[in-house]
Amino acid sequence: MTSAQPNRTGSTSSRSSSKIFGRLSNSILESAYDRYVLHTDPDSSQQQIAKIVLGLKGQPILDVGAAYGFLGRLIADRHLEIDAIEPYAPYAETSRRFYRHIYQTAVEEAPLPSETYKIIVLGDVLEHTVNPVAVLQSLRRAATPDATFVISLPNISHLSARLLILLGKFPQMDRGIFDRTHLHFYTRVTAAQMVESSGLMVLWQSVTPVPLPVILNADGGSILMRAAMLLQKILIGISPTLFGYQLLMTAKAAALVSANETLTSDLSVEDKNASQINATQAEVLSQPAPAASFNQLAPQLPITTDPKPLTITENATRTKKLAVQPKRKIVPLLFFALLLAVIVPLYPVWNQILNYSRITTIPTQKLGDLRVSGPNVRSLSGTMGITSVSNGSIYVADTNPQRLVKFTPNGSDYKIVASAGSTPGLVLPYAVASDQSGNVYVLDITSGDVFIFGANDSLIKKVPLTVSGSRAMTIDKSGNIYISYGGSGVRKFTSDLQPDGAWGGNTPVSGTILIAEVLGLATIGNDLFVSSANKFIRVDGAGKIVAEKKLIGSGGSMTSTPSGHLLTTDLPTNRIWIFDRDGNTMGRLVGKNFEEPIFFQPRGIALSQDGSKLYVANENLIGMYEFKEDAR
Amino acid sequence: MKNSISSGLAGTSVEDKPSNGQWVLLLVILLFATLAARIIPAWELHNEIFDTSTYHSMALTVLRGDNIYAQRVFFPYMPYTQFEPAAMLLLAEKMNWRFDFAIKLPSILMDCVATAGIFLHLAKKRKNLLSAFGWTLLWALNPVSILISSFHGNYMTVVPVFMLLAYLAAGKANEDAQRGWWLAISALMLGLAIVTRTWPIMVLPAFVFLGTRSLRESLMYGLIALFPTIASALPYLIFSRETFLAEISGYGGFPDFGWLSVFRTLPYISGKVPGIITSLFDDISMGYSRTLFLVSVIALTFLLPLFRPSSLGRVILLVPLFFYWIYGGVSAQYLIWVIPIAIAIKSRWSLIFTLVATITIIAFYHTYAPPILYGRFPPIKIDQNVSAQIMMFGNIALVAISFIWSMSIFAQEVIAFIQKKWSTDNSYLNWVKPLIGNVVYLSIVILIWLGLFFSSVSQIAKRLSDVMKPYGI
Repeated sequence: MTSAQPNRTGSTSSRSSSKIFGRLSNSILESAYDRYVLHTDPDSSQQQIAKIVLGLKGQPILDVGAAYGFLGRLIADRHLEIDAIEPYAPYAETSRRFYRHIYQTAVEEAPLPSETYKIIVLGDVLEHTVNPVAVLQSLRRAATPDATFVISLPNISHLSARLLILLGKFPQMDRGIFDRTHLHFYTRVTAAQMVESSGLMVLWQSVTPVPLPVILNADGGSILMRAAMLLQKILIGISPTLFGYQLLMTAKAAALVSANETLTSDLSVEDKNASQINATQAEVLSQPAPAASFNQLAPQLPITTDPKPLTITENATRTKKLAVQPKRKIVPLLFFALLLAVIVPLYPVWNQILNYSRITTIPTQKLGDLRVSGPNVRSLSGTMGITSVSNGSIYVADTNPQRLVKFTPNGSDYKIVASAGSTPGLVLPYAVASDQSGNVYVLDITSGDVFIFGANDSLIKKVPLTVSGSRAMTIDKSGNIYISYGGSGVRKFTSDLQPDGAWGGNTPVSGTILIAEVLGLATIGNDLFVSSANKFIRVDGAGKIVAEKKLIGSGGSMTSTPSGHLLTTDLPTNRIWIFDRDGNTMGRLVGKNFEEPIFFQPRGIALSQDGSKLYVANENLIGMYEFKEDAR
Repeated sequence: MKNSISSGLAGTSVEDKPSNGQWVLLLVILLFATLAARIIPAWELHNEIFDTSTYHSMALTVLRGDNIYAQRVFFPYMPYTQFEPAAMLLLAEKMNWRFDFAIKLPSILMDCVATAGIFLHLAKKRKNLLSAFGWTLLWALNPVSILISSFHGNYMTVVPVFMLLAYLAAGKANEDAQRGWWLAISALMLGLAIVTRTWPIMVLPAFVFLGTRSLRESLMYGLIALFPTIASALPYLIFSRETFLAEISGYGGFPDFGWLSVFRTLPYISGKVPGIITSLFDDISMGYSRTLFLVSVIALTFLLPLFRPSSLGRVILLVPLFFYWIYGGVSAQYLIWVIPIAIAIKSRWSLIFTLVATITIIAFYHTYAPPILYGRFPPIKIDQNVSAQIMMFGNIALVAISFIWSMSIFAQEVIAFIQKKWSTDNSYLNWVKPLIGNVVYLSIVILIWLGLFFSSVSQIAKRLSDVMKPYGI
């Protein structure tokens, strides 16, 4: 600092002092100064500015508007080269001992040496000047090219100011945001704009809380004050612009900030300048960049002892880097591309459930259960096939124990028609069907034999019509019998129990069509309808497949309704579906309040002759339900 | 770019960057290694079994237009991913591939994405390229990842990869001028992780707390992260609430790994503990350990203000690590959760964890699911007694590693907090706003959890009522 010694000007007239604060009279200045006191709160702007200055580790420093020399006092023990501009003579004299030189003049008239100061501090000064931008520009000439400007300004968007203006008040106060000597009022954004219009670039911004102990003249160490300050900090955390009392920022010459500079090289420069780097600082450097915008410094200012190295330099450097990085369009494009990729799959997701929800639900009501009970009689367990005969009786194939049970139409009485022990050859009755004469046909899944019982429940005959593993059977109005052929097809027999060679094909045996996993059969007129594991198939009178549709649910037992539709059980999901003859899903049965599920592993299904009652062989009981197809 | 050739890759510095050619070449090598190490076993194995078989059922159900939650197909996930198996089934039919191969492709693809992500992250300044290559190779040839993606065929790999991308994007937000966009991308990636397998919602607070700096950022982050889940779940909550909630809340994992597995393996070794008692013990223990785990995660969430933003990567790992040593229902595929991010942050724990997890997973498959390792026709003679013993000791080691690892992360953060090393970049301005956001999200999570809980209780009560009704009870 020997080559750029500033000119000592001594005192200047009080007339000139008005320039720095516009056209204010000395009396106003005096009264204003009287209210400026040293703040001990570590969050105050004075303390924070001092901390920033120490953290920047640069000198010489220029303190513009030194007043009582607060900054000089705070960092006096560091023996830094610090000059000041203070137009008001009494305070310039008071402060003189804390500064190397005092320019007692307006800033525009101060004979500052060019390109000298590494740090220029403007603590609550610019708002008092007529042309803050011009002030900054003139100071830039005194600053080194890489100098840092530390600026504080009152925040006009503070809650208290907003409320007062909302109430139509714009008071002239002795101090604070509405200080009568203020010529300009700034928000966070306009403050930055003002600074940047002078050719500086804002690197870092923060706010300070309201100095409540000073305003209220209270003990800052009291619990109440500490709690109030903590609350303020929290509120500032939520909204700095609303609760920040003073705006604090650092700035550098914009031209200095080169897009080619990298964070690493910047930091390495700082590191070289620093006298020491301890572990804390090294760690901070290794961490992701701290807040690039509204951030806050650590609250405690170490001014009397050797402080921990501060990170403001790194903050500023990182911020600078972020500020000068080109904003690549690819990043928002990447986001929107990803967003699109996320949104597109939502269409089928919504479509799927909307389509499913559009399927008509047919409310039904349970009328009762058909039970087997009595001394030494085992209840139903493992019910499978079920049929309703012309006289209204219901026949059920029960697999555990193996038997054929007959119920009265209302389920009030039952009769065990046949059982594995009493009926020769009956091992595991599975499917049940009936013809127009009231004869009941029982398909044994183990042997493939069909047992035919007369209307009086006596066994008429046992016929080996199919093979083991067959589990579906139905009889049309003409008495033709359709039985699944093992697990691979359907075979048709005429009413005299002869294979119908004219129907279907000859593979693997005559009168057969090949369909995998036949689970249910039903007829309407001459057409046969088949449900397999996941398909609905319509077969015409010649045994040709004329329609095939994928099922929404799983296939199961089938029966036809008087209106010419088909009901199918869906065992895995406890549902019963209704289809039209082409396999279009028309709806599903739900409870009377549209609740689901109302069935429990439905296996067999039958409708009463008049179609008003539905009998469903649930796992271990027969449920009797009201059936109104037009209820949907 | 001086001396880039002569200096080689090791120890390269800012002034000594390798050329772009070297960098690209290494990336290509890594991608090729990732792909080859996974595609070959996926193609060679014919094992549509366990999870891949379930995925097939899901695909068939979805393609039929059915409500997957109304079906008794195992699908305790968000609706968003239901079309993934369906799409792979269509692809398999179109390309004439086996389904068990096609269904593994998304996981393999995501493994490649993770490889690229890790390498780009570790070699971002073209520094220490050899180190970046080595760490990325640990992922590219990671046996745990290969076992889960290519042998098991489980879709879980996708989740930690999305989390990794979320973490990398959050890191990028700290370095780039377009912080907001990167944070949005991070949130979107985390959202995809959440919508894929729900559990990453437990790491959302960590991202919100340590990755964002303002209330607006934290709210936006959470909103974007929850968007896919909410957007896909909404129609199901409207049109099929009961079945949807019953299905997604009805799965609690299996005690295949973790401390409970040690007890589960005992019957295999000693032959003295009746299976029924073990099963009962499983159910009870899983219930209690689930509660304990959830309490731990909630406690962790409230401790997040103590942690440093720079520790985001490590803090993310705490949730799965807690899961490993607290919860009893750890499945094989869950062990992949920590690996991608652990490698991305160059944690040496990832090495030991990978080693022990690999041995234990192989022992598990060998004992309980040989077709995963050997295909449809596993060797007839499999000594399950020995593999069960390996599994038992492997699980003890896994629990110990998870415990020590999580405690070391925790301890580092607490020590840093005590020493106030974080004070300058973690002051109140940084944590008050995310705290509020976090409380909001935690409240949402708790509400959802309570909703699921009561919904489950009502479902169980209803089912019991149905079952008991015939008996007049």
